[in-house]
Amino acid sequence: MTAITDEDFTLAGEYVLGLLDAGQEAVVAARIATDSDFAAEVEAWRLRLNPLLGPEHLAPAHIWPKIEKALPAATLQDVGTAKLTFWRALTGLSVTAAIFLGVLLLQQPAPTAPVANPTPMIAALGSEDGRSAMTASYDSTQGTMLLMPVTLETGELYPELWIIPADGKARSLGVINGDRPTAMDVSPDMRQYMNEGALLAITPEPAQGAPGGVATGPVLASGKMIIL
Amino acid sequence: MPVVARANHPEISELGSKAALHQPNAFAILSRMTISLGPTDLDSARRAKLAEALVQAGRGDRNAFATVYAATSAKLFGVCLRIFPDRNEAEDVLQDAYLTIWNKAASFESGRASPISWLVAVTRNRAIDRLRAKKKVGTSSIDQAAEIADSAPLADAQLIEQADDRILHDCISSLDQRDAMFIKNAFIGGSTYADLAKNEGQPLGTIKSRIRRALLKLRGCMEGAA
Repeated sequence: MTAITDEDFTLAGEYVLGLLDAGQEAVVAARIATDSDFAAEVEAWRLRLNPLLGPEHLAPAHIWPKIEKALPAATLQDVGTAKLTFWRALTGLSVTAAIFLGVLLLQQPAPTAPVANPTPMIAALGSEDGRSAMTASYDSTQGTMLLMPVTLETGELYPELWIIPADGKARSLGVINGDRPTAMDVSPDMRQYMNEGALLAITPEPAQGAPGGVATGPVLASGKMIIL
Repeated sequence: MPVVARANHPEISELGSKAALHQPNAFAILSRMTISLGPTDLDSARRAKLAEALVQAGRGDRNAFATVYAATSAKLFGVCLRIFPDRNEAEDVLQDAYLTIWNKAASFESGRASPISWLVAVTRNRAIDRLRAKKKVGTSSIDQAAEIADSAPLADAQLIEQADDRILHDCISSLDQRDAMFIKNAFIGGSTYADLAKNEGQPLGTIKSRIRRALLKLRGCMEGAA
């Protein structure tokens, strides 16, 4: 640690103000990385001067969806471990399978009149640590959902599936089979919530489902419904 | 007691708020929960939460990144608007800034900087890069410097809302008017020493020693007032 001189104080201020040329900036950036006293002085200048960069303004609501869309695909984001990569690859595979099954489902003999604008939706449900738990594919024309569990450990309890629409309230879709792929009918009063952007989530609950329709267990996995 | 006990599982009610994040209204509410800059009103728990979310975003966690956005977008949009008063342009810069934040989040070190000052610095740098690129193609920088002086007057009522802002404002006002303008033209207008010297028609050394004296005076004033 070197003693901070007046030259250092001004240098830190010059750096924060952006007065330096590219070469000097690079030198200062290197010093910040190696000299914590100097880094603290840069931070102090930022705190002093940042009020000049205000006041706050509410960002328009359409910005976030654009940012989210522009992020690289989650599978490309390196988080490091091979295990994670494996699970992500598996998620990819089961999503593909879900899409395939979803398409099959849609190709089942149509009712007498052709259906307008079928909107197949899928969701990949993963745990907080990124592990794939289940994929779901929903056919809104039939109100049918295909569930393909990947890993769903609920111990002595049973996986209960919830739909959480924009209002943030979790509504039960019922206890599901966590061991093998199944097709379920979404009850007619729940179909209104099965929209793009709604969240599917799984909690461990007693065999007969969460008492009073309120989740008691922690969320094991969740995923947003997206339109194909 | 749930038989499945794994650490860090969120409650379903928390998940609901994540889903709600995608709705404009909920977004507006969340966006108002901005982190204040001043060390005095900086809620340390909130700051730690933001730092944690930023670190998680650096590991590729999109939910954490959404949390960072919700907590900071009003602050950072303010930064963009200060540098680009044109709203459309400011929106573009904001978007660009968050993508940069996503890419750089892994380099954020919570021990070295507060999350908000790191985020503001990244955003300002993106905005200034763009401004400088535009200036290269654009008109004379003297005109633009004058524009900045007009469009962002230091006496801006909104600017002095908060105590910290007021101290900064008072201290900048105590500087020589010219020096105060240099500081603003650098921080908000992207002028370097070389630009200022050229605009002023003065030797680089003269400008440098002027600003260095002004910086020491500013620091003395702000520390005396705090």
